Parts: sequence; C-alpha cells; structure tokens
Amino acid sequence: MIEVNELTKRYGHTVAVDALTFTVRPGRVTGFLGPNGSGKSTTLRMLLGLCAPTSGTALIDGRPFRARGVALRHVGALLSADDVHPGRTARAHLAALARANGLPRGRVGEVLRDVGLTEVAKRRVGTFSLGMKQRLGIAAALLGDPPVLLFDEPVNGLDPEGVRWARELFRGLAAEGRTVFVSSHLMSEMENTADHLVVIADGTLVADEPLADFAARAGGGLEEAFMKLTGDRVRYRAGEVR
Amino acid sequence: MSLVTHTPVPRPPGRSGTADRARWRDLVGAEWIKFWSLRSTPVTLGVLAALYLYLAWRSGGQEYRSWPHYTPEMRDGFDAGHTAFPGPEWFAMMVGAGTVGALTVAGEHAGGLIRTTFTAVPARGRVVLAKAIVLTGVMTVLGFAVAVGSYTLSQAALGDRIPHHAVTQPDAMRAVAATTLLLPLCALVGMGLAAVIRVTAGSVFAVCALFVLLPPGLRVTGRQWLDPVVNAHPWFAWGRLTGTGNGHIVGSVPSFTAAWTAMAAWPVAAVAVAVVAMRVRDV
Ligand SMILES: Nc1ncnc2c1ncn2[C@@H]1O[C@H](COP(=O)(O)OP(=O)(O)O)[C@@H](O)[C@H]1O
Ligand SMILES: [Mg+2]
Repeated sequence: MIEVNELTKRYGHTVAVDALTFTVRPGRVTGFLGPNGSGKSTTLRMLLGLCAPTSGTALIDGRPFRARGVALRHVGALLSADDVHPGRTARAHLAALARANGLPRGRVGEVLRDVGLTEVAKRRVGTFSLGMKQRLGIAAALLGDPPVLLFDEPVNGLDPEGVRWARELFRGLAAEGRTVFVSSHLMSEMENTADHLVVIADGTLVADEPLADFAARAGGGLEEAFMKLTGDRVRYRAGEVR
Repeated sequence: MSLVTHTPVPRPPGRSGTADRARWRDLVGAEWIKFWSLRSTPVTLGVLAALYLYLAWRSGGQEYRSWPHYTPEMRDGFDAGHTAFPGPEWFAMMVGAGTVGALTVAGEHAGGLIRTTFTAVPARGRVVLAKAIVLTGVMTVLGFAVAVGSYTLSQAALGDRIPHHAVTQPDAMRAVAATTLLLPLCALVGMGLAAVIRVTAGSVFAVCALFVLLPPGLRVTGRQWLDPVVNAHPWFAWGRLTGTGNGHIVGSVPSFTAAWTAMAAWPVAAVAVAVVAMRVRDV
C-alpha cells in the first residue's frame, strides 16, 4: 500500500507537486495519469526517497522509503530506462543490484528470462534500444519479487507486442495481490491496464476513482474525461511559449 | 525476444527477518561487481601500472648514464627514493588514480544509475562507504605492487655503477609505504570531488586542478606563511616521504609526522565529504 499525504515539492517558483493526497491499494493496477510536467515523476521520486519533499509525507507499506536499508524485496521500481550505465552488460547491472540486496544469484537469470532479455544478457546496455532498456528496468524492479511496484511511463519505446506484454505483466502482478502503480501521460495506455486512476494536473489531484467511474463522468469517453479535467491546466502546450 | 505471458516470480527464500538491513558484505560485493564490470577500469589500471614500472626503470637508467659526470657532492646526494618515484612524472598517476575514483561516482550520475542504486539500497551512506572500501582495497594493492616494482626496477637499472640502497632500509620502506598510500588517497579524493560535482568532465577537471595545477601555483617565494598548507598537499607530503637522500632541500619541508598526517587526513576527509554530499542531496 502507498500512502501520500499533503505531499508538496517546490523547485524555486515552480510547485511541481502541490499538497497531493491519495492512497494506492494492493490487488489492482492503479494508473497515475497526468499531462507532461504535471508532477508524476516528482511524486514517484519522493516516494522512493530520491528527492526530499518540501512538506508532507510519502509512505510505502507504512514506512518512509529511506527508513529501509535495502529495498528490493519490498519495493521494485522503474523510473527511467536510462537509469543504467551504458558500459555494463545487462547481466552485470542486475547482478550488482541482486548482490547489494542479498538476493540469490539465480534471480538474475530468472528476471532476464521473464522480460525476454536472456539472449542479450551479455551485451553492453549502451547497445540496447529504448524498448530493451525498458525491459531491463522492469527486470530490475522484479528482482526482489516485491509486493509493491512503481513504474514511470514504462511502455515508452516498447513495440506493440511489448506494450501488450507489459500490460499483461502489470495485471498479473496485481492479480497476485501486489500494489502496482503505473504512470502515463496517455489515457489510451491506461484504458486496458488500470482498474483505478489517480489523475493529477499541475501538481494537484483532480481524480481518484475507479476507471469506470472516471469514464462515466464524460458520458463514456475516457479520453474526453481526461482532456476535460486536465485540459485547462496543461503546463506545456504545443505552439505556446510558457 | 518477445514474451507474451508472464511467469509468476517465485519468492526468494527466507531471510525475511534481517532482509531490511544493508549488509556490508553484500554492498561491498555489489560495488566490486560494478567496479570490474566496466572495461575501461582494468585497462586504465593496467596501463598505469605498466607505465610507472617503465618510468622507474628509465629513471634508474638515466642515473646510470649520468653517474660518471656527477661531482662527488652530487654522488653523495644521490636519492634512491626519488629515482624510483620521480615527482613530476607522478602527476599523471595521481590524475589517473583520481579519475578512477571520480568515475565510480560520476559514472552513476552520468545516466541516472544513481537513482537505480539508491532505489535498491536507500542506505546511501553505506553505498558510498562500500564504494570507498572497494576503491581503497584495489588501489592499495595496485599501489603496493607499483611501489615495490618501481623501486626494485629502478635499483636494478643502477647496475654495478651506483651503490644500491636496499628496499628493506627504513627510508626505502617509508618511500614504498607512502607510494602505496598515494594511490587510494588520490582515488578517494577523486570520489569525494565527484560526489560534490557529479558531472564527469567537471570532476576530472577538478582532479587535474587539485593534483597538477595547484602544486606549482602554491609554492611561491614570498609566501612562506602558506608553507604549512602547501606541505599538506598530497604531492608535497608524498614527495617528502619518498626522499631517501641526505641532499640539499631548499625551503620549508614538513616533518615526516606532518607528512604522514596529511596523507591520512586527505582520504578520511574525502570520504566524509562524499558521504554527506550523497546523503543530503536530491538525485
Ligand atoms: N529537478 C528539477 N528542478 C527543477 N524543476 C523540476 C525538477 N524536476 C521537475 N521539475 C519541474 O516540476 C514539474 C513536474 O515535473 P515532472 O514530475 O517530471 O512531471 P511529469 O513526470 O508528470 O511529466 C515540471 O514543471 C518540471 O519542470
Ligand atoms: Mg515524468
């Protein structure tokens, strides 16, 4: 379970996340939706203790993330496909993570197989396509077999088959009773993946409800509901100088 | 490479009670894997070692050839330590070792690996200390090998023309010990600089500035009041400790105790800076 309470992050004059409060429950996929620059990544980074909130709290299974010494058995996360060193092989990257967390060495081969990277395990990550790097990031998130999983825009760069695979993966993880929190700026990606939506715009919460309820608001169309709710609060619009 | 169905991930066996604590053995093991899994690291270390063994051999050979032209005073002032470890040529070693250390941190910031690392191990201070342990271990072993090798080769190059000075003499052992320590010192200082600067190019520049540009700029006549500071610079402290001659040293030199103190203080301070910088800042 993820609990975010009055979470706020300021960068100078920019309020990236503004008094955000929501809860993400286990056993279902929760979509974290918002236009570009609405504060999704910042929220996830605060959840993972990577940046400090200006105020408010973010708890995962009742504890601030940095209260843990090692975390892979509790929380798995993919923030960006580029959070790797291009000079290392996929196997070495995962082996170091597994070792740091005291995970059995065999887990590396297992997750590589789960994400379909076994054949390229000995290649340097710098030679990977974006989609392959996304899969490697997902493999890292799965290493510790954690009950809570966070994914930031995980299907960027995946081919259609990869998108479908990821969707099945997220649904499967949730079906096993895990907390699965997946961010996206595209409603269409969430349509067949999420059971529940947390929607933000401009750093503030605009909806926290089941997917079906959200759709019903705009008379059936998810995309329309999303546009209507966030449309007037988009920070970066095409053809516009901010 | 496609995978359509997901196989449930098996739960890793047991250990749930202590699973939260970051264990030193595991963290050091992880940093060990990371250190050696970049191809450039062993190459850099190998090249540095080979280069300095060669330089020591060459330096001994130069003394061999010059010896007939030396005056009796110059022969009396012959310095076996500085022949094995010629100061000006060791700037590049200091930069090399410093860069290896800097890259252990700057390399994590270059992409965004640092976020993956701290997501797996929230205990940031321990991650930095594990890096420092691996760096210290590797660079001390390398430093010892290069120090003993350089000294032995430079002595061998003296032939039967110049009286030898056994490595077991106290002052020769001091020179070897100081050189052994110089490598981890430079690596850890490089790591500390990178923890603050983060950017690779900036960190390497800072290493060069600190180790190479600073020493000549510091030792300026008319600024003798700066001497205690100057003497604490790693290059000057190490230079003092590697001297075995009884020759003519001009200007202020630190006592051996002061030089050893400086060489111990630099790595300790660097690691402290790295731990604080990595713990408090957003990544
Ligand atoms: N490190 C940072 N420094 C300054 N501003 C930042 C930083 N990170 C994010 N921001 C700003 O915070 C806002 C939210 O960004 P982000 O969380 O990345 O949004 P999203 O992931 O929803 O696209 C944006 O306006 C962005 O420019
Ligand atoms: Mg984002």
